[in-house]
Amino acid sequence: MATTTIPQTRVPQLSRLQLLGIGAAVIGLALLALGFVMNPTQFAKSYIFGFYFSMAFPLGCLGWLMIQHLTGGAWGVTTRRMLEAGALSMPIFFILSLPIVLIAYNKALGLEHYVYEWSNPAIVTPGSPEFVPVIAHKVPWLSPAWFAGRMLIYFTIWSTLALLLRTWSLQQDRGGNAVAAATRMRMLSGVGIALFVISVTFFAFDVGMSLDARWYSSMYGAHYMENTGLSTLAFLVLAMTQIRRTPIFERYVPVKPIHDLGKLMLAFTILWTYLSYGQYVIIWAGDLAESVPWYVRRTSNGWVYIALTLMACSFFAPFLSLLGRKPKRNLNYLAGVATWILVMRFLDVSWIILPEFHLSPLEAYTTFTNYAAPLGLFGIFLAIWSFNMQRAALLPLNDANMEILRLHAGGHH
Amino acid sequence: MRNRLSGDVYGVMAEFQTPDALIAAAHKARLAGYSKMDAYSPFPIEEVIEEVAPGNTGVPILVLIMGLTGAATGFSLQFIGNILNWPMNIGGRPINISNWPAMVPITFEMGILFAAFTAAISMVILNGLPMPYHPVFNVPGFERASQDGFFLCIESTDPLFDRAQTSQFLRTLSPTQVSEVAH
Repeated sequence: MATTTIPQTRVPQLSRLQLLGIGAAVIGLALLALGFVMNPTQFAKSYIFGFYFSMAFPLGCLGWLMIQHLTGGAWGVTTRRMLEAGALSMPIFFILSLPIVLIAYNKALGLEHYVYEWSNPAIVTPGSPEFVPVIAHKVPWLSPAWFAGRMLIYFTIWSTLALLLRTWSLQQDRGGNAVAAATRMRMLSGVGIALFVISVTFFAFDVGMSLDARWYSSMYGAHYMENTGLSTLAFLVLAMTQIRRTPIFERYVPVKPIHDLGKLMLAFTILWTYLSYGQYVIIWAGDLAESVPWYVRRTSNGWVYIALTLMACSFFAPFLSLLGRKPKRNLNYLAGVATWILVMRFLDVSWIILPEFHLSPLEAYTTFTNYAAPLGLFGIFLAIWSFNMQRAALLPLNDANMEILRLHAGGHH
Repeated sequence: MRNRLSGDVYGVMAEFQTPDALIAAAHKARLAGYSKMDAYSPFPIEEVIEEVAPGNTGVPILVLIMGLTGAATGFSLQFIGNILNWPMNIGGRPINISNWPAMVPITFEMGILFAAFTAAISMVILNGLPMPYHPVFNVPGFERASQDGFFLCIESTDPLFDRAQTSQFLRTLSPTQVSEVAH
């Protein structure tokens, strides 16, 4: 296959999205700053929620990027540049993880109580009146210093993977040996996906699950990984609506990759249900004193209505909307479903995190910082994503997988 | 079923070398008004399916109905057995409808079981299988349809079918060969 030199394509929608991202980031962070001045402890709680929610996008982009290098396929080569652009936000999100580390250290922010219970010396020091043996037992893992060290390790792994995959992909664009570049990216993705699964699982344990250090579920990491995958799929579909009308996409991208993204959204909707329900039914059926409190908090004081809403709106609604073949081949319809799924991702992550901080959903959803943090952090992601999207060709035209697109684009117009 | 005007053949068949050529040929045949046709290729080609068999096969709706029936059956089995007719205290779990979380796995499994069996069985029946004899195998070299050949057959049951004209039409699509398919 001849090497193609790809001219930079200016996509006006992308610069508009960048402005939108910057706007959301500025508004969100300004409100967060206000929240910090008003109530540092509430700021800390909302920041953990916002960070946990927004990290789904860089992580999902990195995960899907490696998966599509390993599986190939039309959907992969179509979305590769969007995934690279999202994964590249990892170094910035490393900086954004510093407040989480400061929250674990507590004193730096002057919080009124320890948000992470395990970081409270009184709880983990034997002989203290507040001593909790079950948490003290976990101190070798849950200590602020090792928590900070793990964040460094996670983000080093993720940033290295994202930067290497992007660099090699751009080298492939510029010519050179396209097959060697593809092999190199595939090899790295094979190792990377294993590191990814382990690191994301522990990241979810650290940032999310350890909010209740007495409770554990081995499904928690898989559930978070699933959340990153589904959030990113929905984001990809919406991103596709913005750049679909650019000449290069019109020329090369048939309806098939859109159909594929629809199928993946359906599969991940089902997987979300399986993991969420599987975790619930095992704990519910076991009915053990050490494992039920987590769910008791999430079904009392009105939180049960959020759980029921999730069942109806995060499983049944998208599941039924994505069943047919025709709807999945309609990008505007799919974008509607994707928007719905993103709203449900917000609701799901809030149901996972916020009952640790708020007794009732009314209290949780009327706290403005619980919106400011996700808005600001997602705004930062969106701005970085659209910035990076404008710095490379929209499709990796030298990749052998482009042949699949040509085959499919050949029969139709 | 034989059309007097069409003569005593099953249809005419054209062979193509690439999937692209088959996609283009099927597209043109459909535009020319042919509807009774079938394509044969070593692997499924989505675009060709859309050209030669537009519309639904009936399998999806059957699977949906039977899947829901299976789920309802699974749930009823447990509800009638464990709660209505023979209430049994299992590990202190409730003996009423609020025990539903425990019933979901079986409900789900029965839904999948019914749906999967329906998909497989209706596929076999709607395809007319088992079919020990099919005329297309009379075409010389047709076994390459499972290796590297791409075939398009316009059947004599098509209202527009005419032995000479249809063969002539297929020749305009630049095939490697056109043959009549004997019964």
